Order: sequence, then structure tokens, then C-alpha cells
Amino acid sequence: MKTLATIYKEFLTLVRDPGGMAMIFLMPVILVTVMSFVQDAPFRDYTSFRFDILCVNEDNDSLGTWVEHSLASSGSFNLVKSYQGKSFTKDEAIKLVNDGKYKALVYIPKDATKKISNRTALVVQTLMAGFGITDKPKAQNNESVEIQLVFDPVIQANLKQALLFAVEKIVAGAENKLLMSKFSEQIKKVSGTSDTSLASADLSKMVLVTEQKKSLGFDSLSMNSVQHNVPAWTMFAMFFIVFPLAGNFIKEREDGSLLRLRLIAGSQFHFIAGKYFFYLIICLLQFVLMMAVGLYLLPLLGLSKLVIGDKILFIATAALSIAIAATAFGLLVATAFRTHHQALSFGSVSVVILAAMGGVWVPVYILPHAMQVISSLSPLSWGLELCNDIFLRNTSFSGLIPDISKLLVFALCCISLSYYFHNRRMQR
Amino acid sequence: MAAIIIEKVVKEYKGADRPAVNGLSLTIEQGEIYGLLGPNGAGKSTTVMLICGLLVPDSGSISVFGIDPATHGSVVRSKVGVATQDIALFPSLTAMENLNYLARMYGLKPDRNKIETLVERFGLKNKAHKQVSSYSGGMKRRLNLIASILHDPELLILDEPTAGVDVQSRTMIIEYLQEKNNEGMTIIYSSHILEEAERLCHRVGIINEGQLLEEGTTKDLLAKFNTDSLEDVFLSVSGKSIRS
Repeated sequence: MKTLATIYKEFLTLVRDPGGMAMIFLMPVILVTVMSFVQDAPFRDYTSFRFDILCVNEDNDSLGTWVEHSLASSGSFNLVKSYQGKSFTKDEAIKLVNDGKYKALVYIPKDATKKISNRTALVVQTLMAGFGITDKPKAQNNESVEIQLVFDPVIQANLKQALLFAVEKIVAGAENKLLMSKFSEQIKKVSGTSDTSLASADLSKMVLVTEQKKSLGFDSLSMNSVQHNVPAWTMFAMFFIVFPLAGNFIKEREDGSLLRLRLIAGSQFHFIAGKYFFYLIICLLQFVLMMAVGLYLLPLLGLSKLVIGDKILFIATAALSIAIAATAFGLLVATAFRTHHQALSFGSVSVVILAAMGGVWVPVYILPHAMQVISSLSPLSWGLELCNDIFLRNTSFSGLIPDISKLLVFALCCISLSYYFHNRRMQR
Repeated sequence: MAAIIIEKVVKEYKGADRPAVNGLSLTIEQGEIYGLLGPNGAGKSTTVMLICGLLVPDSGSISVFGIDPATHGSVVRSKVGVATQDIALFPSLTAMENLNYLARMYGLKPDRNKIETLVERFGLKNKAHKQVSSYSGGMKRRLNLIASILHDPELLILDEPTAGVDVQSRTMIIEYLQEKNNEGMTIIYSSHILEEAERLCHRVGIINEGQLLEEGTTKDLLAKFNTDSLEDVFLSVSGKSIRS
């Protein structure tokens, strides 16, 4: 009854504090929405991301046309061939890239088709001469074609790689096509037949590389801004419970309310337990609210819908473990520090550090190895991994146990230390 | 029978240059109103904390109704009510919510009639459902007093209970305390308003630097120092220098 009475008292205190309510519920919603938007583009993989690239095609023949057409139809790039209504030269295009107006330039030199055609013909003739079918080719110009790419230095490495791979793939396709065409021409010349099947033979996709999804039912799912940011900032918001919890606890200690309870026999345990359980419930409500934002609000704003799977019991267990750890951390800060200012400064900075370590800003897998090791010490990382295990990896319950255990042990340590600090302070 | 026996108690805080309570000995009888007087920093609040078992003495012994508060603090606190000098209430709750909550924390089933009677008696009925943060200093102090007597303690300790309270409220509080004392409640009354102590207390003890310097009935002390004012006695015993 005493614990329930304290929970009710905390409820009344919170609902009469609009600022506190906003900080607990509204700020995390704004935070997760803004962060999902901000990180939407960086999280998209390059195949779904279209960015503008300049194209200067001085070839004006089949290779140039093929490269242009293939890049434009790849879905990843918008080819830009004029600036402010005027076409541009190679030098002008390089200046536009250097000025940061565009991120990349593809330059196809003059006579590119002619050069690749000559080179291919030479290769085919040499091969056929090797079989004794034709005479050895006369010495010809063996010059390579150089398609140049120019990048803005600030371009992300993955986008740079995307364009390089795309152009190399397109050129390889063009080379294959031309090679088969030249073979066909030579065979026709030697045999006098006009079989076109060789020219139209498709050498691409002889080996298919496909992604085998780990879990059935999650086939279309991959990490995106919403899928990362919603759980990540949910962890942050839940651990930020340190702010209202410690603030409220120390305020009551400073203004004497806690002394009143110390003077009431046997009330302190219930008071602290009531406070703990109240903020635990708040943490769980934050979790539900943030998931609802990912499921309903963000899709309305044009972002992806958060996928959480259908294992509600797993999700509830994970949320409870995270909430237990977050609230225990808040209690530790509340009891360990003497003043409001000390507790709130330490509490907020420590949560920011734990969040950075735990992969809230950026996924842990892109961090350096040393940081990945350090990251594994952050309770936010354990919470985030739990969410990823359930939402993305479709992990069994036994697979969740290690991270749940870490969170519960962390909570136990925090509560034990809180007990020690509180008793020590009360004896001063 | 003695309600409180304090014998040669010493309590020194870590880092302090002298003990807050330094060999204090005093006895308070059951049903007595005892005035604990002393300048700032004399050791009054530490003595109260020791009586309630919230602090443990470094040496010496304390007995409250025959129970050692250092080892049985909870039992002692169930018999003691303390109206602290600082208002120990929850400002965002109303008076009724504060009292209902505290009653539950005392382990009592909230008695609506009792709480309403006390609220009315202390002139808080009209604002009983307003948040305490909107109360005047005097109203907060009256509510603070109600909060300390919800569980009908055998011993009531009051630290400056009338500070910032208007004359009418002060008179009402004094009358209430006399009434409870007549019912058998032992009261320790700490105040800077010496007229009140003179009017209310059966005996007073003047402490300074953690030691009991003088003790007796008001009448005896006035005779001993050959004066008609307790204030003169207080200044003679504790000195005229200002305390930090």
C-alpha cells in the first residue's frame, strides 16, 4: 500500500508538471522524428538513392550512348547534361564539381567507341588467328579508352564506390557486347553465314549472386533510418529518465520532503520502491510511445514504417529489461550525488556518452574495432542489440538471454550501489 | 517516568572542527513540555536527529520511552512526531493529498474525518484542495504541524513551529499544543521566540556548542539570574556574539 501510495503521489507530481511531461514524452518523440529524417539519406543504400551527376559525352557514338543510357536507367543517378540551361565542357563540369555544386562527373572522351571497337577487333582477330582461322592482324593502334570520373572531395565513400562500380559494370557489359559482335562479324566473314545468335548472346548474369535472408518473413527488411533511429533513440529517452528521476529525488531531499519520510518509521524503502516503479512505468510508456511513432507517425511523414515483428512477448520482455536498467541507473545517479546540479550534469552527460558508445548515433558495426569493444560495455548497446535481434534478426528467446542478463545485472549493481550511497548519505 | 534520557552523548560530523553535540545529558519527563533553547549551531537539530534515531551517537546513550533509538529507530519513530523547521511537505500536492499520502506512509488507513477535522482546526479548510506551493509561509507551517501528528505520537518535537506565522495562528498552535499536552503528550519545543517558551514550557534547557548550560523551570531560571526576562537568561548563558 505504501509503495502504491508513492506511485500515486509521483503520478500527481508529474501530471502537474507540464515541463516534466513534455521532457519525458514530447521531447523523445521530436528527437526520434528529427533524427529519422536527418539520417534518412545516409542510411539509404546506394541502389535506392539517386544523386545528380554531371555527364560530358564527347564520344557521341554507341559506347557513350550506352554508358549514358545505363547510368540513367540504373535508378541510382540522375544524369545532368546542362547547367543553367547551357551545356558544359569537361573543364566547366570539373569546376562545377570542385565548387561543390555537383558531387561527381562522368567524362566519356572523344572517339571512345572507335577506340574500344578497334581494340576489340584486334583481340578477336588475334584469337581467331591463334586457331588458324584467319591471318594474324596487322599492327594497329592499341590505345585504351579512359572514362574519367571526377568527385567532389566531400562525397561519401560509399557513394563514390557506388558510381565507380556502376561505371565499371556498364563498361564491362559494353565490352562483352562488342566482343561478341566482333566474333560474329569475323565468323560471318570466314564462313559466309549470317548467324546472329552469337552477337546477341548474353554473357551477363551467368552467375547470379543473391542475398539469402536469415529469417523467413523478414525478406524485404533491411536497416534503414527508421529501423535504426527509433530503437536507438528509444534507448536514449529511456536512459534519460535519469534526468526527471534524479531531479525529483534530489529536489525532495533538498527541500526536506525526504526528511519527513525518514521520520516516518519504515517508509523509506516504500518511498524509494514507489519512485522506482513509477519511473519504470514511465520508461515502459516511453517505449510504447516511441514504437507507436515508428509504426504510425513516421510513415505518415514519408519515412519507412518501423518493423517490429510479431513476437510481442519478446518485445515486452526486452522493454522491461531495458526499463529496469534505465530506472536503476537513474536511481544510482539520484543517490550518488549531493546536489541537483551535480546529478543532472553527470546524468545527462553520462547518458550522452553511453549513447555514443552504444551505437545510438551511428550503428556500432561502422565504428573502429576498439570502439566496437568499448561499445559492448554500454547498456544502451545491449538494449539496442535486443531490439535488433527481435525486429531484424528474428532471434529465438534463448538468443536474447545474454543481453537481457547484462541489463539485469547492470540494474542489480546500480540498485546495490544506490542502497549504499543512500544509507551513507543518511548517516551524515 | 522519563520519556527521554540522554546521557553524555557526543556526536561529531565528519570534517567538523568540533562535535555538534558534546557530552549532552538531559532528562525529559513524560507529559512535560520541555523548551530546548539555544543559538544557531548550538546542536538542537542534531539532538532531535539523535532522539529519532536518524543519527547514531559516537558515544553516550539515549533512551526514548525506554527504547534505544540507535538500535530500534523505527520503533522510536513510530512513537515520535517531528515538525521540522524546514517545511517537509510535497509542494505540488494539495494539503489533503499530502496528509492522505503521509497517513498511508505512517501505515494508517487514511481517516478522512480525522484529516478534515485537523485541516479545519488549523484553518486550512478553504485551501485544502489547493497545491501547497500556493500556500503562505504560515499555512505551510500549520500543515507541517498536522503532518507530524497524524499518527498520534506520544512525543512531539517542534522545531520553530511558529516561525513566520501570524499572531492568530500562533495563538491557535500554542492552544492546540497545550490541549495535546493535557491529554498526555510529551512535547519538546525548540524556538527562538522566548516569550512562547516562557508561556508554554514547564522546563527549559539552554544548550550551546552541544552542551547543556542551564536547565530548570522558567521561574527558577529567572530567579537564579535575577531577571524578569528569559531573554536575559538566554543571553547571559549563551553569550551576545552572533552565531553563523
